[in-house]
Amino acid sequence: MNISTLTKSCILALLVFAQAAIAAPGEPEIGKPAPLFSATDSNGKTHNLADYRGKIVVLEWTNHDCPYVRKHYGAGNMQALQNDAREADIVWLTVISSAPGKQGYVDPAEANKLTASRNAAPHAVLLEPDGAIGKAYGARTTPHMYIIDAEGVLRYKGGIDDKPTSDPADIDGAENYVRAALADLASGSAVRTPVSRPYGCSVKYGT
Amino acid sequence: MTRLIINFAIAALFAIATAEAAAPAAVTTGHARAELFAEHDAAAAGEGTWLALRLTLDEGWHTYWKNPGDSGEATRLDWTLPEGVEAGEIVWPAPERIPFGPFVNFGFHGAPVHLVRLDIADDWPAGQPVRIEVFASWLVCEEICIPEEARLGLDLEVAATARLAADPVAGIFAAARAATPAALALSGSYAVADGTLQIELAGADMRGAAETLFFFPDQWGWIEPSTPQTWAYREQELIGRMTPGPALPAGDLGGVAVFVDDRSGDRRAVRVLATGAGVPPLIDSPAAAQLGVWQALLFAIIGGLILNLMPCVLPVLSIKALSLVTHGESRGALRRSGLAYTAGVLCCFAILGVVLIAVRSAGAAAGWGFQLQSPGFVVAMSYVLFAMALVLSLGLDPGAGLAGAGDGLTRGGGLAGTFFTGALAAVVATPCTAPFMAAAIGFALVQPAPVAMAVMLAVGLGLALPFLVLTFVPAWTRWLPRPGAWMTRLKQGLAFPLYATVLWLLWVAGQQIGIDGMVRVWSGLLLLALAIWLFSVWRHDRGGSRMAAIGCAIAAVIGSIFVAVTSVRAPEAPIRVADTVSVPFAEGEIPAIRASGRAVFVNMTAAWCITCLVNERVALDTEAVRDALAARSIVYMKGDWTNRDAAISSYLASFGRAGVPLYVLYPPGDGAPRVLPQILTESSLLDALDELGDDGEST
Repeated sequence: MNISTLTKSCILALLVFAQAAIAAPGEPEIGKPAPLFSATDSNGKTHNLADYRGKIVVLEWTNHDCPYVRKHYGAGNMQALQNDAREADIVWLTVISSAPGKQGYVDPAEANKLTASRNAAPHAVLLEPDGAIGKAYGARTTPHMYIIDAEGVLRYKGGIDDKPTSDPADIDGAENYVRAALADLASGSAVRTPVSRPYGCSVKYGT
Repeated sequence: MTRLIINFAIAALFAIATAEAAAPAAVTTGHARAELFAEHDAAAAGEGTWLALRLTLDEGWHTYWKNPGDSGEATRLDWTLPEGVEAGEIVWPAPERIPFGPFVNFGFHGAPVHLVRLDIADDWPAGQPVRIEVFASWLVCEEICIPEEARLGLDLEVAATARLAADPVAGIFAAARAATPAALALSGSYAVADGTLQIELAGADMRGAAETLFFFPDQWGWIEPSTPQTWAYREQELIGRMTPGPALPAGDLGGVAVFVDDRSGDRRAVRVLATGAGVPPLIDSPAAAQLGVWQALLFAIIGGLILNLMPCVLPVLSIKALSLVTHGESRGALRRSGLAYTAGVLCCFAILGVVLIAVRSAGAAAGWGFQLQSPGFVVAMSYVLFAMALVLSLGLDPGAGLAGAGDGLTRGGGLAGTFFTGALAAVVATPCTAPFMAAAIGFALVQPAPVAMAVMLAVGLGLALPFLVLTFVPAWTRWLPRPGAWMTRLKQGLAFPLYATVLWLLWVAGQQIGIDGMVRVWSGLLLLALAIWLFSVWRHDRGGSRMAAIGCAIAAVIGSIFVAVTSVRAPEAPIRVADTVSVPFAEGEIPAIRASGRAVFVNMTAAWCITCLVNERVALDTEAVRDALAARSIVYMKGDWTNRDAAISSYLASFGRAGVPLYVLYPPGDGAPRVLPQILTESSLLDALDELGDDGEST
């Protein structure tokens, strides 16, 4: 019995098992690859998360009729973040997971009208009425924010800031976790608050 | 004229000021009526009183507890009080679970009453009323959410002797106190191990609580609201297991336990405090409660023995057993080969154990057969088994030796070959979960690492045992027939169970990577067959043609590996078998369905689980069962674990299981769910459904 053959074979077997064991659970974890997806935007264009490798990607779950979303759009807070992201060559994807007939569901034309009327500046608005991406990311609320780094690794998930209210007066003085995390990533340091409580209305998934 | 306007303006301002000062004690908003009450008609200075804010909600609408769960916002009260008067924090009523889609909120339906302590300074002059004002804001949701607010106020009389309010106000306070959790009634400790939060609470006489208990933590992020909790009562202790959240504190874990009192049938709530220090890391599960370590080891060995009979393992074992007949080896050599085989099996199971423990401690969900959730592993297995089958079919002798890596190793002569036969037997056995092993491995998965490893090795020992015994008691080989031409035919015949296994693996791969991926794998197998045939030709050739054959064969092998790698690289959206009778598993919906008076039957399955598929053919997919489900309007939920799915893994874990199948029957209402056996028959399933009907009528 050749010991080195045995060792090599054991390592080979270990590799086979290890490959099988790489987990991809439904609740994405910080520091692990973010779940890949492909979705159609409000202009009929397909966006593949894998295609944005090399760029930071922000995911924003939204529902324009939700008071918490209105808080941040009404005060221009969300648009300011989107514009900052655009300037920094960050891909901002707004995701609408509301099922048809539920609050926040829009057709592509309505989505574009909303973007224009609110002066929003996302890279794209993804429409996924089946909620598959939302469920893969464990998106619970509108807004619910995720940041994926240039290597496709999830770096932030949670609320937009630390004031879980629907009152626009609370935006001033709140710590904006998304802005802080993007600054941390830009400076190459670890994200100081990688997880926070997402707050807002529930995502209106279909049953 | 100017004077008139000024006067008018002053009067208007005065009116606004007085209106503001006299905020009413009740306000009706869009979906709620907010009312403020004081427990005393006249309070005594120094003693104070209690205030109550009642929100009477529209039917079907809810507001939120202090920890609102996965979404929502807690009701808030901002007090405006004169100096010398102070309001305390809200004393919350016990919350309820409110599922929405896949997630869960904590909150209230009906008319939640928020109690607040009001302190009045000793030196507050008697006879001077206290003006109390509160700005209440709350989020009220049904399908959609609406933030609402109200400014409420009342004048509280202050007298030398306190005078309690009469009914109905007294009744409101009495009911509100009954709805708040009893002061600290359960204390204990908690620990997190292997991705599970375990809370142990000393609770004498709480046996009946375990079945219905749910723990609501005080803050967001301590536990995942939507994942199931399992509570068991053992030796005067309540032991609960649940999924920790992303922000579990290092110190104390406070919250509320809500359960149904099994004697009175009332819903009860108590405060809970668990400290995070000095907890033994041992994690229990329902399976563990019924299974000691020795029992688990025994079950593991029996399970391993049964694995020998599986269609994927039997050919491997048979070929090895036949070699005992042909080679007239010495007793010592026989024993050595038996030990080498056992070592091969154990090595593989040890690796499997290490990987399982590593995956578990990394927080990912793993279970028996988890390796088949990886298309790469499934495809690799189909290559190995197909190569073995071809070698048997073509009647190549061990000297050929080069027909595929797995085969080359297993058929290589001597101890190394025997060792790898053992390893191969262990690898091909992994998909076949024998009934005995499910409990043993479920037990292993929730145990500390050494026990988990012991159980895995016991399974391996069981698998290796028949061959080991044959080599140690060679007299038994006399029961095998004499060598002869029949052996060639038997070997050729044994190829067919292997082909069948390959067929099945490809079907699993097809579920995972789609029909295009599957065709690529078939192409790879075709090239592999070509390579093996070329090798068999090359053995009898010489010179240039031999070199050409070797070149072609190597090219074919490289081509087949390339095809295999590309086939698993980019899986399309998984293809699921359409099924009209069942709905996809959604744990969050179960409570609502049960509350509506319907039962739920949960079937956890996977394409690679033979037991599951057999059960579906013989029991679940029959007309009688379909009719029975429809007649009782039972919701049939099917969870597909073919690919990794964290929600299903944690659901399995909540029942102490690490693999599929799992069948759970929930009666309508609040009754405890019933776990059905892993081997189903049509009649046993129908009986279980019948009993459900009886229970439903009697309660």
